[in-house]
Amino acid sequence: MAMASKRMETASRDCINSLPDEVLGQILSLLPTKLAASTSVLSKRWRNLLPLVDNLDFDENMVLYPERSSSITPSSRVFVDFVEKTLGLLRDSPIKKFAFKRKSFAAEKIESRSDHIIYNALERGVSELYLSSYGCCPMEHEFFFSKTLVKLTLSDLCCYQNTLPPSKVLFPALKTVSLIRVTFGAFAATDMYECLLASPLLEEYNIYYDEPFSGGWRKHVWGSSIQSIFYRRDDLDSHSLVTFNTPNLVYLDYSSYVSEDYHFKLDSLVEARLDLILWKYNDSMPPVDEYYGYDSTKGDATKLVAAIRNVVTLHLSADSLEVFYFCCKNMPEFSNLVNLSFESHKERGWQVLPLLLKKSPNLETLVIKGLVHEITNQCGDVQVDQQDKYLPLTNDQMKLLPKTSSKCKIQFI
Amino acid sequence: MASSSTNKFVLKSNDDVSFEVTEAVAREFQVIAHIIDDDCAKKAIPLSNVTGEILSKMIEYGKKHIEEAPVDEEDEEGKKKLQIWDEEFMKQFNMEIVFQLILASNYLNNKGLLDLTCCTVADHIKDMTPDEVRTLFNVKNDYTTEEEEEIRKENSWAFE
Repeated sequence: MAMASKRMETASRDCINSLPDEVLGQILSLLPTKLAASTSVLSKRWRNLLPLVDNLDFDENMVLYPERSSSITPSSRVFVDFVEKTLGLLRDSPIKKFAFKRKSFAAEKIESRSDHIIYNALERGVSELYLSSYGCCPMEHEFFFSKTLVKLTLSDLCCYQNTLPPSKVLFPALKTVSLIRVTFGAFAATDMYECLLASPLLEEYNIYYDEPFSGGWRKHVWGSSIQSIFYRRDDLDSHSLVTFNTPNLVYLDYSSYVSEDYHFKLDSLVEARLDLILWKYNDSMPPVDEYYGYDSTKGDATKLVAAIRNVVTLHLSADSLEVFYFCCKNMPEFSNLVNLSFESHKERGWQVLPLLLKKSPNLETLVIKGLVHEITNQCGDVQVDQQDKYLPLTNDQMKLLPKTSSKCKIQFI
Repeated sequence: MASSSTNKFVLKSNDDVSFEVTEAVAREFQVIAHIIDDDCAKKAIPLSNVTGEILSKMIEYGKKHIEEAPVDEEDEEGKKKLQIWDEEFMKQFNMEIVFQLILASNYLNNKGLLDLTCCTVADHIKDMTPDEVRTLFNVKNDYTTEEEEEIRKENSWAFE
């Protein structure tokens, strides 16, 4: 018995030792870069495996400096030192994914070394690049340029560019751009934001901005190649106009306070997920704020609702139902709408529902998420029976909901 | 010419276990597909580097990925289902078997199974120290003390 297990062990050890370098490189590429780099201490063979690692994730937050003070500059320097050395160990091997996440802005000297690191990575044919807390410095097109980059994520940084390449395109192969709390220098000589949107193959545009008191980029998206937009922002910066000129957009996920006006060109839209919020639910702002230049009583979603009228599938938050009711001058006919789902919230009214259902003659599935809705004093005509405060559970209401279409199924989830 | 769903081939492991599979399943393994294309597959195809135990698992994987292949690129539900099956499939193996599966899928060139097994190993070791990785992979340290010291100093970031 002991013999057998011993033989088994030897066999498996032989097996592990015969794993080819490429396979070990593939495994190392799936590990946090810190661990992958630390395996260089195992043996000479393992040290030479590092150039096979094509997925690098350098995250300063993963590094602990037990013996050092918390001051920013030295730790950033150690981090940048490490990244440079690791890239050195990798020699000129190609890199597929490269993430460079710093904790904070650093001294100028570190910034220029960081620039060089990114340049180095882009030169090795990176297809996915993730930059975080990179800083607020100009990105020169001589270094911030790549023909191979497909996916770009920028997070917590401010970028501007002094010069653009003659073609005005930095990333000709770019398909996905994600901007997380990114600001674009408004006074730069050229417009980095514009330049990203000019990428000819761009399909997916994601923007996420959750800091109320800062802004710095325009609420304007355009591009005939864009098929999917994820748009989430809670900032209080000017909300007079949101413009999406994306005629081939198929999927829209949009969450924001209701704006005063919308210029939307969404001729191909198939599915929309909306979370529009009335300004009155924003506790931190007075009804009219001169500094930010808005008047919360002015929200008007009429044009937005008109622009999505051809969708097949529509998901609405409980807040959106109120916006549809209070901020929409007329309800268009949703003649293609087959699937509608909306969320329930204790303090949000459903007064727009009868109209919305009447305007959706081809509805087949209605999904109601959560059933916490209670009759509010804003329920208006929908309210029939005060005794039964759970609106959708009353029989009369259930009959009313699908009246518009005999095929309509109702689900509660 | 027989279609690939009726055409059968016999795969033979290095411990003489034979498996009859359809051409479609056989073609899941690039190396076997080449043998078939070169018309060298008249009799049983001997696979000198794979045991019967491992081969049976690989065939099980190949069959599932033929039968439940997602309809197209957009078939998110199909992809998700297969992914859940993959996860369950890997749960039954200890690391020894996983390493053997890696070797065999690298040898027979099945990218899907190679990616899956490499992920399993990476998941297993992602929170390990270098010494634990050394034990698992049975790596013999061939550095001199000075060399090792030098490496540790060079990559101090990674060891903190």
